Amino acid sequence: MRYVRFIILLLLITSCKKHKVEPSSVDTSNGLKNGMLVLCEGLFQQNNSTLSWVDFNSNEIDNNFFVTQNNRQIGDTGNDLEAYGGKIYIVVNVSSTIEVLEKSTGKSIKQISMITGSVPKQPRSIVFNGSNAFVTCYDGYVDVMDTASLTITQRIKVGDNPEQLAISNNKLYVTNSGGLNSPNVDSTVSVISLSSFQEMKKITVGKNPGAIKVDDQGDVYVIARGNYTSIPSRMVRINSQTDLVENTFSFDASGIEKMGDKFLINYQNYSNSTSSVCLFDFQTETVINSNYISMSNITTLFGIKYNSSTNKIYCLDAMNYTNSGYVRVFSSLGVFEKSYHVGLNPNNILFYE
Amino acid sequence: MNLRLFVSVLIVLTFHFQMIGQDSIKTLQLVKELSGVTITVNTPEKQDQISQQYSRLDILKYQPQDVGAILQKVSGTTLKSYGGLGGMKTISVRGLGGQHTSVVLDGFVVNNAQNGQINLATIQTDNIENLSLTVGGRTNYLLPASAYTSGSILNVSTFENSFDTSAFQVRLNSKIGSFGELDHYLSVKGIKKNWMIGAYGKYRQANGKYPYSFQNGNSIINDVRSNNDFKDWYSGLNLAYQFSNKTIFRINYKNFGANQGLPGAVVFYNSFSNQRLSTLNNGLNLNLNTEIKRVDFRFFGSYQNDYTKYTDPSFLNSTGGLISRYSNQTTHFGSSFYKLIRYKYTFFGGIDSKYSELKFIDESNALPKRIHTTYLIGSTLNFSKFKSEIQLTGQNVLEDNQLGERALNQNEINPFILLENQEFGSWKLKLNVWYKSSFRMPAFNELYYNGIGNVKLKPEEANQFSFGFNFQPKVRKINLKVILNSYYTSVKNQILAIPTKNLFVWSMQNIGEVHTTGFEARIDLGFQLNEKNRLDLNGNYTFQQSLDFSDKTSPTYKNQVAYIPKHSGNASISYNRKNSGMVFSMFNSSLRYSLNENISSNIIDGFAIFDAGIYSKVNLSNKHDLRIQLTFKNLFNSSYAFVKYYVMPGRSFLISINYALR
Repeated sequence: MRYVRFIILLLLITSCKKHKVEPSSVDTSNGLKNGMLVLCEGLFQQNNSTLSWVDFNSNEIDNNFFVTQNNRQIGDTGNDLEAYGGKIYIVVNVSSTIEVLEKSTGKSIKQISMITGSVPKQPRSIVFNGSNAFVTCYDGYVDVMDTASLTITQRIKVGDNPEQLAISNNKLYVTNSGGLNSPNVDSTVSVISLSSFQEMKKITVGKNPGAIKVDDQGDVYVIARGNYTSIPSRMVRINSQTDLVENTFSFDASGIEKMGDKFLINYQNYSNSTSSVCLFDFQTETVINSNYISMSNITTLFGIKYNSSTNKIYCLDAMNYTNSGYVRVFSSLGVFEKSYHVGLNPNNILFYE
Repeated sequence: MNLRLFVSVLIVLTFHFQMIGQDSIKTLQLVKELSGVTITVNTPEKQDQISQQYSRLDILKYQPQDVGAILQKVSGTTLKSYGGLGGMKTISVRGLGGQHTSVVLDGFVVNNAQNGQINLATIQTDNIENLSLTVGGRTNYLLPASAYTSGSILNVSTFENSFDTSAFQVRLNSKIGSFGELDHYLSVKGIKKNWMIGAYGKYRQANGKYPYSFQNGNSIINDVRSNNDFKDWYSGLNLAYQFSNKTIFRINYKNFGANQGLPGAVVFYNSFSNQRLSTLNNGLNLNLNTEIKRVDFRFFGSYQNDYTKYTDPSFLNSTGGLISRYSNQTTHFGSSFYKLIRYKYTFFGGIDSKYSELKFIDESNALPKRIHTTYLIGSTLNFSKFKSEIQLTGQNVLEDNQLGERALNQNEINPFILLENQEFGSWKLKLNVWYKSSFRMPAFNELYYNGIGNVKLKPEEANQFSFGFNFQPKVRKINLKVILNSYYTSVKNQILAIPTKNLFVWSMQNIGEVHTTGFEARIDLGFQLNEKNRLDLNGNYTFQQSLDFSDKTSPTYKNQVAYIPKHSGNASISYNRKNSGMVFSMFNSSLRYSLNENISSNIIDGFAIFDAGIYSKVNLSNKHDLRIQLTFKNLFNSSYAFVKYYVMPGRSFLISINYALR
């Protein structure tokens, strides 16, 4: 029987072990300063949404910042990252949570479960007004959350699968994508009164509305993403006084970022894997430069952010969506400076002075 | 199509989920003797290092629930299991995707055009007399030509389809196990004059509520799997008439049904899941074996209807949920011949055509139809010092889509060539070397599925080179057999899903290229301690370096592709004393990556799982056998997953009772 003993021994040696998440080398003990938090959404059903902390002084990166601070992960598909009143809000779509963190440390204050009954509401994006946060939920509602008690106080019915929201002229504008009804997508923007919390009207803007941004005059710009084949993407301008569409611009667009008194409009063309960033003057409603930034350093432009304190442009590069991504830094004149290697599919940035 | 639906569809419809280079391959070898089957359509030829076999006795010993669990024990394979009874299982053999393996049940190829492969968890083991996995193209007697077009052949023969000399036989199996498992199988068959008749049925169910643990950050979470219930059943009738010694006509009908919850991946903070899948298959097979002018002939025809229905009541669309139904029909007919010349040479071949049609009942984007004709011609030559085998397969694919653009028609010829020596020396040393090229057609889902499918897809092309040897050292009282293989395979135009419109809209593209270098070793040791006591040790080890060669500029260039472990292996010890015995087995896999980028955040930990069983046989009389076994699976309750966040069950037990009237 000594053979048997030997074999059993051999088998036991090969047993498996739990791996420990490596501790971060980045020192954030004095609070978060002069850097950025980058939200990486990861991939569906892989629970690999991450938060990266990039220190601008040392250029050090902690790609596992959320776990470093909270000993647990964000979950599945972090979709939005915003700061308001000393707190950070991360909207996690597939996990159906909102993570509320202390802004100065990134430590968890509360995890809000966005599940009603047993059905996940799949939250997407968040904006703030006064003491309230407004969260789009894919089940066709905007949830109103009290930012002091961090509880949902009300639900406002909007269109199908609402994506993003913006506030202008004491009204909340919500893009209804209807993406889950594809190919019969929605094409409206819901207008909600911030006095009554009621939907006042729906404005038709074009198929599959997504990104939304307000300029200094209070005009609301919306990107209708089309159907990626025969119907092109278009940016439209809504006058928030009349709530009428006043312009449809004849160029393709995926996202909008405000840089001073201009817009940076990014576009990713999926049919030929090319991308571009356009500089747009929202006062004259004209394109200043349709290729403001050279795309030679970017594989897949997944988003764009401008930081006024560093006066730099940060492009989010998703690579091929299954390889870890980069933040590509450009001067405000569009000259490439450097890259930061972050997590999978970076989609949002929060800057710290 | 959004990503949530897309991933569900991938899993539900048994696509091989190959995101940017996930997936791969494997091989086999063989060993054991066939148990007493006298008339089967496809008696496996003598097995060797390119074919591995499992018999009914092995199945009784290890109590695998399905063919997927058996193939996990085979060297050169990589199993992907999504967990739970009936949960999806696919294998890749030697780095080639699951659709590169032909699955042959009682002489009929069962892969359908809808998916190109089948869920191996739905082929149960109760009635399996013999199972073999053959890499390359080694000849199996009178298999359809279409079986030979793949990189490997999984060949399963069942009790129902093999008739021997007993006038009346019965098999009755019952099992009860953890997580609400209940399982009953009954099969009877008899012979009267020249008639043979058999009927059988099976029912099994489980609630699938198994506890599991997984790591979230630095904490361990314990939970119970939900929406993982499973129920399936099948029944069938066989009828055969023997006209003469050489001429047998057989007809059989079989149906299969299943209804199951799809639990999905474990998603942190959101354990909700209510997607379901139901399946209903009906099939009719006709078969005539005969001899014409001293050539063995087989003529066959079959009809198969596969219906699947997927529901997601919580899908957030305006109709308040998603229902997707599919009906795939396959008509297959053809013939094969086999001629043995002077007991030295064989000449064989065949031709068959498969007509397939897929209806997307709830969508109107496509109505694909395909006529896939395969022809085969081959020969084995036996010389005094060596043997050789040559095959050529040709394929012609005619594609049609009445509701839109159709895929490209295909015409291809692929060779297989093998050389091996006759066993020599007291150690029976045998070397073999072979080459095979093959291609696999894109499945209907890959070509036409709404939003994902891409009609421009080309077939995946595979090339395999293999060199191996085996020997049986002479050691007193010990039976020892050692098999060693090394191989190189490459896949070009690999079909992968990538985002083509945005992160939520993926579609299929021919972008992957994977090169695999592998090595496998298998050792079987048997000790006849004395007349009553026998000890058997079996072990195998597989090394696979499967590298992504798709794009030189990619960060994943030459990284190990997702879901292929570099090292994996099996070991088992069994001890038998008269009518009782015990068996202890383990499976071990090294770490894998969930994506092609070999970084720590993509690591899925390696694992080892151990099973143990104890059994006793009661000989009620010469004709009646009763066997009782208690099996523990995952004895040490280890927490593991084949697919990221598809957690597998912890420790479980299974009590099985097998009765046979011979």
